[in-house]
Amino acid sequence: MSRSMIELDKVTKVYRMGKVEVHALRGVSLSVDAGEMVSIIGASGSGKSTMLNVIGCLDKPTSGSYFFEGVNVSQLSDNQLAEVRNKKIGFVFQDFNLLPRATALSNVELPLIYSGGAHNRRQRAIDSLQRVGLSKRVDHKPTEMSGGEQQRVAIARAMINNPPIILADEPTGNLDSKSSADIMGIFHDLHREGKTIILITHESDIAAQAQRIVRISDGEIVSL
Amino acid sequence: MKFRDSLASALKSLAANKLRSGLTMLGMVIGVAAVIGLMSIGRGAETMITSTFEDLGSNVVWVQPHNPDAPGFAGLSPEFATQSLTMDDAEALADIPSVVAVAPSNTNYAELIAGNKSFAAMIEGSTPAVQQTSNYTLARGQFFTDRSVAKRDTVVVLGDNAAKELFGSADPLGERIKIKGKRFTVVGILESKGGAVMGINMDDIAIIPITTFQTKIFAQQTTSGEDAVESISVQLASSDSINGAIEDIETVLRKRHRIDSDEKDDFVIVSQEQVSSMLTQVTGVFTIFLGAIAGISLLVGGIGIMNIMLVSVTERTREIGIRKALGAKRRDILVQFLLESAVISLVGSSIGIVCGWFMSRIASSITISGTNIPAVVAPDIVVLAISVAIVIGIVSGIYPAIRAARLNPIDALHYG
Ligand SMILES: Nc1ncnc2c1ncn2[C@@H]1O[C@H](COP(=O)(O)OP(=O)(O)OP(=O)(O)O)[C@@H](O)[C@H]1O
Ligand SMILES: [Mg+2]
Repeated sequence: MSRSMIELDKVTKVYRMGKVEVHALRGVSLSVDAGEMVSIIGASGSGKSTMLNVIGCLDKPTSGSYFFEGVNVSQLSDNQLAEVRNKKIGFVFQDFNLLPRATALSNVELPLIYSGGAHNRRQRAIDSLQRVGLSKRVDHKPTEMSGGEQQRVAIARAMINNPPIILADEPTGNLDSKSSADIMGIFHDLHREGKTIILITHESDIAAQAQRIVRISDGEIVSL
Repeated sequence: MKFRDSLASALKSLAANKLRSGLTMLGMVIGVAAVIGLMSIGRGAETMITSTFEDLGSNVVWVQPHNPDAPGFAGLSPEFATQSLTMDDAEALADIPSVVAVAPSNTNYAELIAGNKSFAAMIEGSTPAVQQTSNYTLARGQFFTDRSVAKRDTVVVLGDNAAKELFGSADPLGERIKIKGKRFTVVGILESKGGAVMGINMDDIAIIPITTFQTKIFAQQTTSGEDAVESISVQLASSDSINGAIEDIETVLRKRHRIDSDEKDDFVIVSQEQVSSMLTQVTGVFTIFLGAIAGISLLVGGIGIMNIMLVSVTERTREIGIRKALGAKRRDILVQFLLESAVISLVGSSIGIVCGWFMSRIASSITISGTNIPAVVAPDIVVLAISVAIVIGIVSGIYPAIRAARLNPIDALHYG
């Protein structure tokens, strides 16, 4: 049986905080094919980030299974997961998650350090920054950049290793409409190159730019 | 991840926190410097004490009066001691076959006066045999003779420093000096010994015939009214004969002092080996003690590193999360944190070695009453300090590193 690139099967995620249980995901099933561009929408706290973290192999489901390229992720070792995160997935975090003391260049280089062996690391990082229009901010630290610029550094970092999948958690959340349009342009370019794009957004006009919209509410997918 | 990249990461993050890295390193520097400095000073003190005792003459035993009723060493102190030894005792000891030289000796302090100069010296009353038993070498002039001893001549042989203090560059030979109001003629000058035994500089000495000492300078009598001798140095032919000679000396003196077989000796016999082994033992304990203090400071330095590494792991949980999210393996995180603590302890202990070396150089250059402690940074001390430092560095780095490496990426990202 042929599987999709990403396949969630009745995935649940329960956070236990003392005696209180938070059901962030309540049996989510979703498949995304290679080359698709999907947007995820839903109210705050509905479980969007939680789902994207599971897809990005950053978090493990409480129950249910997740197949990535046909492989059950729960069977992968710690090192194999690190490999997947490094080579297959480019993750743009909701709050950027840049190293505060490192320059834009060092931040963008980071995935290459962990994939080992890239000899032209610096040049590739500069190219990647150029692509998001930040060639003038190479030696700036995150604290010396605006929210939109940090967002773009995060995108440059996500695509440096040329991963087939880009996951973006509200990549335009902090931006004005002009910057939003620039960034969406980058995602469309990446999509045209054949990459699979999944992005979370609050804005319906952004969501509408994807081929498919997944609406999530209270930990459940309500429409595909 | 390549080792070069791991090292670069470690160095970058150490450089990003200069104050924290510096303070942690300081703990290591102080620990290692203390171990190296204190232990080399301890070793130096040992060498100094044993070597000055070897200077005193070899294969020598000393006989001293001892109050048989006094407890332990108290019997040797002047308050307890009963003067029991005489010149005749000394002469009798010379007849023992394995004995090559016998020198009775009394000592006390007095002012030497030459013209308008004066100098406080140790006055030793003895016989020419003292040259042999105490390793005195004449620089100029001659030693007084046995005839001078018999005639109670007022002649004196000056130590190197005593002569310089009294006469400067002038020739003291044939000059007169006064000791306790009596005039003495300087007949000889000793070569410098350049050391001190238990704080007494052997160059600050003035040697006069023991008979003159007993009758004209510091009179002291035994209970039977004879002139008392404070100490008899007995030199033996070889170190093999020491034990036998000690028995012989005891037999001769007990007989001369008419001590019954059920009574205790009224003297003690101490060999050079006993004294120096006792002192080596004392200084050895001293070295161990210093080493222990130093070791504790090294340990504290190590705990400091561990503490900082733990705090730094907690503080950098988010950073670890980011690195793991971008594909860092457990090993990468582990290596980075281990390298950080290894660099701290390596750089710290290298600086510590230099500081310890300076400490021992400074200690060696300080001269106390003519003696200095020949503190030497021995390789074994350096090896010890470095290996302890490295072990501490790795041990203190490994636990926080393992903790950091185990974190789940999303938990680490959401930390704090
Ligand atoms: N580490 C955690 N511990 C406990 N509860 C958590 C944790 N992470 C998320 N939650 C809870 O799970 C639910 C879903 O969170 P999630 O971050 O997925 O929401 P979201 O849809 O991304 O919201 P937003 O649009 O505000 O980013 C929320 O109720 C949240 O409080
Ligand atoms: Mg979210």
